[in-house]
Amino acid sequence: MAEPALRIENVTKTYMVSAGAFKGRRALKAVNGVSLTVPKGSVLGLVGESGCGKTTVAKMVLGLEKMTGGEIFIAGKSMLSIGPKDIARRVQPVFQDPYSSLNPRKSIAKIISLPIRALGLAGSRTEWETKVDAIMEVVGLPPRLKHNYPNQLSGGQRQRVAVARALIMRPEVVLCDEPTSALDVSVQAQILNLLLNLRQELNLTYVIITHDLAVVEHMATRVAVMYLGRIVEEADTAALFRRPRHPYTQALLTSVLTPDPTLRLPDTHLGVAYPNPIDPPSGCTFHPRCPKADDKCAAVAPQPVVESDRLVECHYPDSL
Amino acid sequence: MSALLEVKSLNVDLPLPAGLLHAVRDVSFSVAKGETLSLVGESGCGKSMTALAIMNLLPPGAIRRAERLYFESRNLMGAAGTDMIGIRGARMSMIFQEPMTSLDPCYTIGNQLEEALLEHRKVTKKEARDRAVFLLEKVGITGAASRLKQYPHQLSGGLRQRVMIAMGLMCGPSLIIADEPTTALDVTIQAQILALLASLQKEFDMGQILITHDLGVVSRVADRLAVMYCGLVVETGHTTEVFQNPIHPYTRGLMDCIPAPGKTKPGQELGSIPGIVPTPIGDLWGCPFRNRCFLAHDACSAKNIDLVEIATGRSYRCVLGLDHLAAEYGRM
Repeated sequence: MAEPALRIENVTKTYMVSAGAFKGRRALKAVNGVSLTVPKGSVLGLVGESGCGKTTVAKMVLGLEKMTGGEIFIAGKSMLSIGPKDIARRVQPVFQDPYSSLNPRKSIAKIISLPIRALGLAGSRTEWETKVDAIMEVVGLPPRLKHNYPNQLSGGQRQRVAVARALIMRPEVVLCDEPTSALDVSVQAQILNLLLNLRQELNLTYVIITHDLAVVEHMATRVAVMYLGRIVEEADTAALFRRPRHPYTQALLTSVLTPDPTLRLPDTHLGVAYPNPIDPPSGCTFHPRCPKADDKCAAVAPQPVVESDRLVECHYPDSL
Repeated sequence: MSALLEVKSLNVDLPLPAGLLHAVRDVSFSVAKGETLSLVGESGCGKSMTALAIMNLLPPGAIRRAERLYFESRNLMGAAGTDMIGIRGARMSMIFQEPMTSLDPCYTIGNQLEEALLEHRKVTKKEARDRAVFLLEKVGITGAASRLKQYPHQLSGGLRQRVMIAMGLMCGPSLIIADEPTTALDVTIQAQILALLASLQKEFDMGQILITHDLGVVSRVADRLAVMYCGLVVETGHTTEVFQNPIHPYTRGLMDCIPAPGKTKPGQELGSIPGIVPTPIGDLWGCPFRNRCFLAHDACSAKNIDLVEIATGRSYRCVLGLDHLAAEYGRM
């Protein structure tokens, strides 16, 4: 089998945070043993509530944070063995907010070409300008915008610039962190369509991090649900949405408000509190919010169980 | 029964260096007791400005005009600043969008909750505190009494939003204006907060104006809705009617844009509205949506397009007739 575009193996990230004045420092396990495999050409959706560690995973894949333990392989090469420039050549990000992720003092052409210029792949000015023209056409930006500045562009156009900048080096993996949540509804669809079309044309691999499950169902081929630094369920998109087996995944899916006036508001049975990651609950970290929890859940952490179509980490997953 | 709030032909203009920005144009609606009206639209469509105009909290320099702006049979247009103090916070209150920024970091939760009640009613400090504890428990905050001593930064986003809701309810208002109350929250908490708002609304028989861009939220919560675009109301109606049979091309476009499990096929191209929202600065004429509309023709640039009422509370703003629109949609 060919090497997957991205393989994350048992990665952990521990931050030392101040526990309060005069209380010293304590360990916060933001990511606590995450393993994921993303084959070439597929789209992985990583979902979870804020604070579950999904952005920390993204930062480690981009090489912006050092992992505390575990290993990440990009196209078969361990990230520990290659330098930051080699990481950047293989993984490129598209960030959430196109208003703050583009340098307002640089022209669009400069912004898009920065990755190839920084890595010394640009060649002469005419060479990189040709590349910029080509990629701008691919993402549907009119060539006349080349010498404009970000403040002259709309939100949708800015996000296209961010996509162009990510693609100009033909990276192995494009990592999109909430690619549409800062955009207007009518523009969101434009960007989602663009990402889908580019994937088909260029055989791209995406990791999409979002809390919007409708976007995930639409875009992803496989979905991983994160809770408090762990993957609690991972399955092919269709299977996961048809039959969620972890109680947390079930709660997440019922919370999605699809536009349907015949339905009322759902009851998630979750209670309020997302636990403080400094003080994670004992046993299964989800047990204080779980309707099915019993003494075993409070005492023993469940181990991931791999079944035919999915991985699920629960003592009592819903039977198929 | 007379309406709780009646707005007729409300206009808000903001003088900017580039010209006059027409933030709200000719907006009319009413809200009855116990009813939820939703103002839907994208950023910059004037929905928040409408709310601020009702509360008389517009930014300095803004010009507010209205044919009628009546709340509980009182004319708000005539109400001077001092009159508004008796209404705002007491009879109608607003839940703001950002629980992170709209609470004062320098004061405790208890202090901020009690303030409105102490200001508006003759109550003792203890009565105010009891009411705060009562409402915090109502909005589902455990250990309410001890929370009163906490500062906003000690609470999570969901808790802060709950505090904001409790704060809005302190004086028992008859109208609550919720401006994107759940946008900053996780989906799991969003459902809880909306359910909470709905049950409190029922319990206290309040009218509600829910401002949001999220059609999913609207479909589940609102009784009626008004779709806004570029300061104008382009379509109104009962929620079920509008969702089942959107008339205006913009409403229709919006609904096609959202990936909906079961309706859109994963991986398939979503409907999208080309182009961007124009800025309503300077002299405006014709339909603001004509540059992005697939049905646009010459008549769309006509001077003014009126809201056409086709049934009580059901109207749309488009030059094309119902039959014409139905035929166009049928062909798609």
